[in-house]
Amino acid sequence: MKRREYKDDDPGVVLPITPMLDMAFQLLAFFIFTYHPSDLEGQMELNLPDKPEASAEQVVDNPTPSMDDKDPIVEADISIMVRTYHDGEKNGDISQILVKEGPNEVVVRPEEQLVKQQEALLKELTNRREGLSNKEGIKIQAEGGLKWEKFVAIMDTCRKAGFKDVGFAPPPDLVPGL
Amino acid sequence: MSHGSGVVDKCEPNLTPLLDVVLQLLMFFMMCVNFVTEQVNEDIKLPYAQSARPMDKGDQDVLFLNIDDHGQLLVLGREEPLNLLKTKYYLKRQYEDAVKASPDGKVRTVIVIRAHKNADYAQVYQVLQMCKAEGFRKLSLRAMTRG
Repeated sequence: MKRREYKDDDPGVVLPITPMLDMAFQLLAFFIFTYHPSDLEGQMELNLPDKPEASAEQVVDNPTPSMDDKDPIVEADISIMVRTYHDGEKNGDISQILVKEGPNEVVVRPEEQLVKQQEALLKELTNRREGLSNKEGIKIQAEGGLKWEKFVAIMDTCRKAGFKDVGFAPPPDLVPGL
Repeated sequence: MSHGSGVVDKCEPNLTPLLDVVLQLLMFFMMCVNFVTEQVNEDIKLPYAQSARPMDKGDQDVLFLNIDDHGQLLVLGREEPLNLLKTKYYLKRQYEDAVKASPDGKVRTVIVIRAHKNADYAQVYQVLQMCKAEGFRKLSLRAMTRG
């Protein structure tokens, strides 16, 4: 009987949600402010040529693969040569873009801004692509000192022109054996 | 008055759904932060490319190679960047591990190159060549899709 009287007056268990909510909000704010969304990043695929896959034993047997195993993608009727400045001021910027198709070689506006160079290159590549038998492949060769940013801009232009397989050629000034 | 009965209604907002949402958001951000810090180096400033596509979530076996503005490889868990020789050794070990982990011995690892926009082309090219020489066949380059 006494128990029943107590039960009637019992307010029940009260769970204080407010401090928990405060903490949760603080943690949430922290993670929101420190969050750098990675979905801004995109990717450009680059497939290397098919080759018999080496086993781990083969890799151990051949610990120093030669660097003269050159172009990742070799089948291309057209190629681009990108030269860079070596004047100490604009090092790494594009100084000249050459579009090579067989014996023909065309210089794409060497003295203008990158955006205009890209526009001119896009126009040149789009026109040339129509006459190519291999409309997918293109090879880019750049001097070793070219900034990666500029190289990616050229690569981006090639892809916009419709070339899906973009191959990298070794820099002509690359020191062998490194 | 209309409240002549003397009963006072307490206005208590229902916090439970709010708390549910907050905790779910918290969980999301915590998981994202873990993902980012494990694989992506924030010091790497990527170049921009309009043709870069959203990342493929289907690739399970991915090896991220972060290349700094000096062309050196940054590896998770090591403070010092790797020079060319160490990079070669690191890639070799990664390939051997991938072969051992693969049930049929074939390596399906996708190499994701995250190179700093100020790195030299020659430096990135050398890393690409090393990947190829060690046996990796599938490569992907990372770039920012919008500025």
